[in-house]
Amino acid sequence: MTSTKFRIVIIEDDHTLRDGYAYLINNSPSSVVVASYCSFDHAKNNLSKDRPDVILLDIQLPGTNGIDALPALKKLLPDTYVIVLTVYESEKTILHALANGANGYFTKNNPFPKIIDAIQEVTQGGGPMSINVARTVIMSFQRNQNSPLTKRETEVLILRSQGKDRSQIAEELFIETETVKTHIKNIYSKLNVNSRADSIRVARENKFI
Amino acid sequence: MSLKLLFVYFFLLSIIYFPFMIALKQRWACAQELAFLSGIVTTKYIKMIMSAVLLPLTLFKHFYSKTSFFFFVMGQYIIFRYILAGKNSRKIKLIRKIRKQQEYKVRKETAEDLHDGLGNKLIRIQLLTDMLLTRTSPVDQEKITLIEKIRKNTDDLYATTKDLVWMLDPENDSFEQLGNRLKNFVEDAFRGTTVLVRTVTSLNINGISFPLMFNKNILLIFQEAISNCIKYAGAKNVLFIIKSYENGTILFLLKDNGKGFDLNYSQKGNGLNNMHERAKRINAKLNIFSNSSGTSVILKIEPIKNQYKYDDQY
Repeated sequence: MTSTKFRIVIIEDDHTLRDGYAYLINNSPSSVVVASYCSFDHAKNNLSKDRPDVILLDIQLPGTNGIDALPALKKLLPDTYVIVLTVYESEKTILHALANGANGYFTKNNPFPKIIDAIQEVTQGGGPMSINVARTVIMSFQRNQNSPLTKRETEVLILRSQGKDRSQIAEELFIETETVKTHIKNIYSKLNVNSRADSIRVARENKFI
Repeated sequence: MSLKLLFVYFFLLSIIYFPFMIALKQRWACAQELAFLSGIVTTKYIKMIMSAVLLPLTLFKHFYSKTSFFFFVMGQYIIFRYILAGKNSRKIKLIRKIRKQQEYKVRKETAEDLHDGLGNKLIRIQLLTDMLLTRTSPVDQEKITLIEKIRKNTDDLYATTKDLVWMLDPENDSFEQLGNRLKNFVEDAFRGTTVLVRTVTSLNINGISFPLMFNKNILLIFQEAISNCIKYAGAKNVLFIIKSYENGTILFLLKDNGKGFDLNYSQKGNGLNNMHERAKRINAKLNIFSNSSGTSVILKIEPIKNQYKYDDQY
């Protein structure tokens, strides 16, 4: 009964993984792979024709990466669910992917039956994630939403709490060292503190970071 | 006054007042010449002639013999040294900064290479093992067991690679990152078991950045301790505490209510020796207490100079 099976599209640049996923999904009773592509750029013109229910999307792709591809996919196929399947599990990447419209997020080291379960879950309206991903998301939501700090100032303070100096922060956020200095001055004035240690302590106590 | 200081004094004096000394010498030569020309050659009359010809020539204590002048020259010397030291320290700071940036870059790139290269290959093996498992007949239990063993070993190797990548990445040198990693590791390790785990983190100090591979040793000490706890302790409750004190001391504690073990007997095993060895490497104190009602592993790091950097620029 192929017609009742979920139609899956795989966008993954590693051909071993792509073929492996296709094989395992086709072996599962509930899903069938209708197409698999090595990049979003190759996939975008065919997706409307493929009419997938679920897309398994890698992040590191040649050309348009997975994060940037997400809004385009959502615009192209608003009713299709997208599960990100990647090796990246940093908070920044996870939140970026979810903000861009990902319905699920899994790391590739998960046993494949879990991915099959995730396909079922996502079509029932769930937001499947691997444990480590869910933990990262929860931790980020535990932050105080009424923080007086701007998004950028919060980023600067988080990096400072990780022991980074001004030049490293500047390098990471692609801004000037002087700008970092200004952010830090603003943070101190908003939190009414005079030292790095105090700023981090106050921010932590109030869950600003 | 030391001989060295005197030497410095006269050396500076000779440099600063060299032109003046030449002038004196010329005056002296001039006087001698005058004396010679006038037929008076004895030194006795030279002074007379000098005072007559080169007036005013008054005898006074040489300026360089005065104490105030000595301090003036030494002051100049100290200022000179101070400027030089400032320049040197700026140079050293710059070299250190460049070295740190290079180390940061190399570590970051190595971590990325390991992650992308080894990590991706291991994921392929994991997936291929999953594929092999679906192609194996469910009745062929022997093959299934072998495949599952391959999958388990690949999973372990992937976890080890992830740890290595984590340790190499300079962004994880901070105490906070280590705390999070250890906390997650403890929770993950006991997931799926009946052991009740409680983790407590209490951080009173912030912005601590550990030196290279410091985190690695702490992480590996507790990985070993947790692995021992899972394998042998048979505990019902596990408590893991990370606490930092105002004075900079950092304490890690893993406590279980298992059956304990004989320290004297187990000391011969490599696991415990390695833990002690790792603690020694980072100048930390490792204490392990065990009796029939449980085991406690306590790691204490004192804020000794150079032990770790408390990086506070403001």
